[in-house]
Amino acid sequence: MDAFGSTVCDPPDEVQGTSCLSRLWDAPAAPYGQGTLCCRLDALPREPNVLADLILSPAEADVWRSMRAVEKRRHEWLLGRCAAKDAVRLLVEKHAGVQLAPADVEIQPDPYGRPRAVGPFTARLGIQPAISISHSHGTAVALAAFDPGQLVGIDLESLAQQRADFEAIAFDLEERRMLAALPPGSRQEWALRMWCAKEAVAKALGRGFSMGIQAFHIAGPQYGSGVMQLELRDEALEHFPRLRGIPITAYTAREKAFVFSTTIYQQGAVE
Amino acid sequence: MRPSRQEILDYLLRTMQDLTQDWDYAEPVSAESLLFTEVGLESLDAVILGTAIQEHYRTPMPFAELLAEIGEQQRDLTINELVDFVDTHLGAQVPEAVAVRRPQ
Repeated sequence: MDAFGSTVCDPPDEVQGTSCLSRLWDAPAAPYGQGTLCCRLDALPREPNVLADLILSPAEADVWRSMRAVEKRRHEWLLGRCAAKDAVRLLVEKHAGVQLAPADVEIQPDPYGRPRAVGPFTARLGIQPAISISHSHGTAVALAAFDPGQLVGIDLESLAQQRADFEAIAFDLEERRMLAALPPGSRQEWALRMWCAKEAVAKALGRGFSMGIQAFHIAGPQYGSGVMQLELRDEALEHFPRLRGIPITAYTAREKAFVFSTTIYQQGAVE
Repeated sequence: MRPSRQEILDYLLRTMQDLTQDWDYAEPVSAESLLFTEVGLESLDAVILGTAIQEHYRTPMPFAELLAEIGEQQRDLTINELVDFVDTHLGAQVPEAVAVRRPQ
């Protein structure tokens, strides 16, 4: 017992040092070089409350205990936190040579809901990694960039789920024409890639789809490389006028039953 | 003939159950269920649902604007509120929706 009446015990070895519960996933970070990495977790590695005790900070544990949400959403939240903490910890170890415990890295939403990695390590080491989290069909991924001036976005969608048509709302006429020109066998994959690209850019800019789904327009999909150029339109340009006429690049790819998209943008360009 | 509010609710509950039937953690869906935190929808699921509703009633509705609005306000939406939205755009008058915040 400590002075506050709490039971204090040594954490298991796996919490200390560099041990991570998620695994590195190279493909989403591959376009961006050494300062970026992606972690992935395909299932809860422990019973949820045990995992929460292992990885969450006191403030996050309060959120976990009081979260009024369906089990699916609670588990996704926990998976996403776990992947994001691991991504930041690996990045900090790689670039600053410091090993952090999961609870040292607190994932907090900013006023618009974009996750931020905070904790005493940011001031102590003078760093502020940028992160983005996505989950789909029981898998969570987190993209982290060491450069604080970078805006990062990642989105993951499962191809295993039977997706009903969503094109009428997700895409404008021009985008639907692009999809209609594709062979029927690949149309669903590319519709999901285009959706992922929109969502990744919406996350990177920090406002999600609050500016409208079609405020993020797919201008030039390159079917060979998976690269997509997006233009901002309508309300998005009111928030980010400096991006008028400037395309934002999103990378998309398919790996087995998932498609994903990532984007990294320099913050100075949108302020 | 324009459907009644109860018919819209029945349709939405059926559609929601179809949408979530293969989810491991799906729980019973009711009129008071919150779409994102309690039913567990993701943004793409909401778009799929909106498309299905438009096709079912053969009426375009401003779902993209609805999603943008709840995103801007960072709130969730009950199935009852969605019924009101559909009812409104099929021609009925409805009470003002109540905002509920979504966990981050």
